[in-house]
Parts: sequence; C-alpha cells; structure tokens
Amino acid sequence: MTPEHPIQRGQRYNRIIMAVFAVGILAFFAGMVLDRTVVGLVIYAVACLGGVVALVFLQFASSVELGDERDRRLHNRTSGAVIHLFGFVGLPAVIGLYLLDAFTAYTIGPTVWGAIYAYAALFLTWGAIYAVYRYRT
Amino acid sequence: MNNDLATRRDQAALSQADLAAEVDVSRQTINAIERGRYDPSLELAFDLAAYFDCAIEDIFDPEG
Repeated sequence: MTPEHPIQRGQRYNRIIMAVFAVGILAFFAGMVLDRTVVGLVIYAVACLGGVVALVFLQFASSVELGDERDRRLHNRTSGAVIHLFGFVGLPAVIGLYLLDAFTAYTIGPTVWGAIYAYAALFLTWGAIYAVYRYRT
Repeated sequence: MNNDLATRRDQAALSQADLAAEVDVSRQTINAIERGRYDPSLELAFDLAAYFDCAIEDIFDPEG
C-alpha cells in the first residue's frame, strides 16, 4: 500500500472535522424540529467544540497541514469576498438605519443594535488584524 | 497563464498524485494548475521547475 502523503492526511483530517461540524449543525436543527432541543444542543456543542479543539490542535500543535497553498488562497479570497460583501451591503444598511432612527421613521430595537454592534466588531477585528499583519511584515 | 505541465508530467509517466507528492501539494492543486484555473505561488513554480530540471518560464507562459 502506498504510504499516505502528509497533504492527503491533512485533507482527510479536514474532511473528518468538517463532517463532525455538519453532524453537530444537523443535530441542532433536528433537535428543534423533533422537539428535542436540549439533546440537539448538547450534540451540537460537543461536535462543534470538539471540531474547534481538533482544528486548533492540528493548526498549532502538530505537523499536519490541513491544506496546501491553493486551499489557503481560496480561504483568503473567500474571506476577502465576505468582508467586501458585508462592507458594500452592510454599511449602507447601517447608515440607512441610523438615518431612519434619526428622523424617527424607525426605532432601532435592541436586537438590531446587537447586530450593529456585532457588525462593527467584525470590522474592528478586521482592522486590528490587518494592522498587525501590515506592520509586522 | 498557460502551462505545459500536463505534457511534461505525461512525458515523465507521472500521475497528478505522484507529481503532487513530489512538490508537497494536493492532487487537486496540480489538476487546477494544468487546467489553467490556478496560478501557483512563486515557491511552487520554482519547485515544479526544479523537479522537471528547467526554468519556470519553460513551463509557464505569462502571455497565455
């Protein structure tokens, strides 16, 4: 039998972890549909936290590489596209909400404020990490 | 960017998986390069050129 190349091993581990995440998410929704919310939530928590622990371990404490340069470039492009999407669509929406609120046409509720804070936190985090990369390299 | 990686690989009687293992990338990456859907990093381009004992521009054509 041909020995497994490290890249193939990393891809296999990555697929397993993604499958674990998928099982957790499916269990979460199945629990809601079947009125077994707590059971679904427990499976979701165990699967997703286990997946995160496995990813962190493999990323930082093992020699396994979960992908090659093309995978990393795909991740980078995807992240950039998501940030652009949130920026181009989200910012006009947030400004619109502020204007509507200021002109008393709409009152921003606590849930929407939470979403706005999360939106701001996303870009603040992006900016902070960008600054670290920009000035360290 | 055009390239003749598939031709060189065929001449060397290598599968995509064999070549991928030689330059430490996935088989899918070699496939994507051969189909012109992925431009490799400079590092990988050097590795491929070194493997086939030629210059990078012998494999890759930036005008393509």
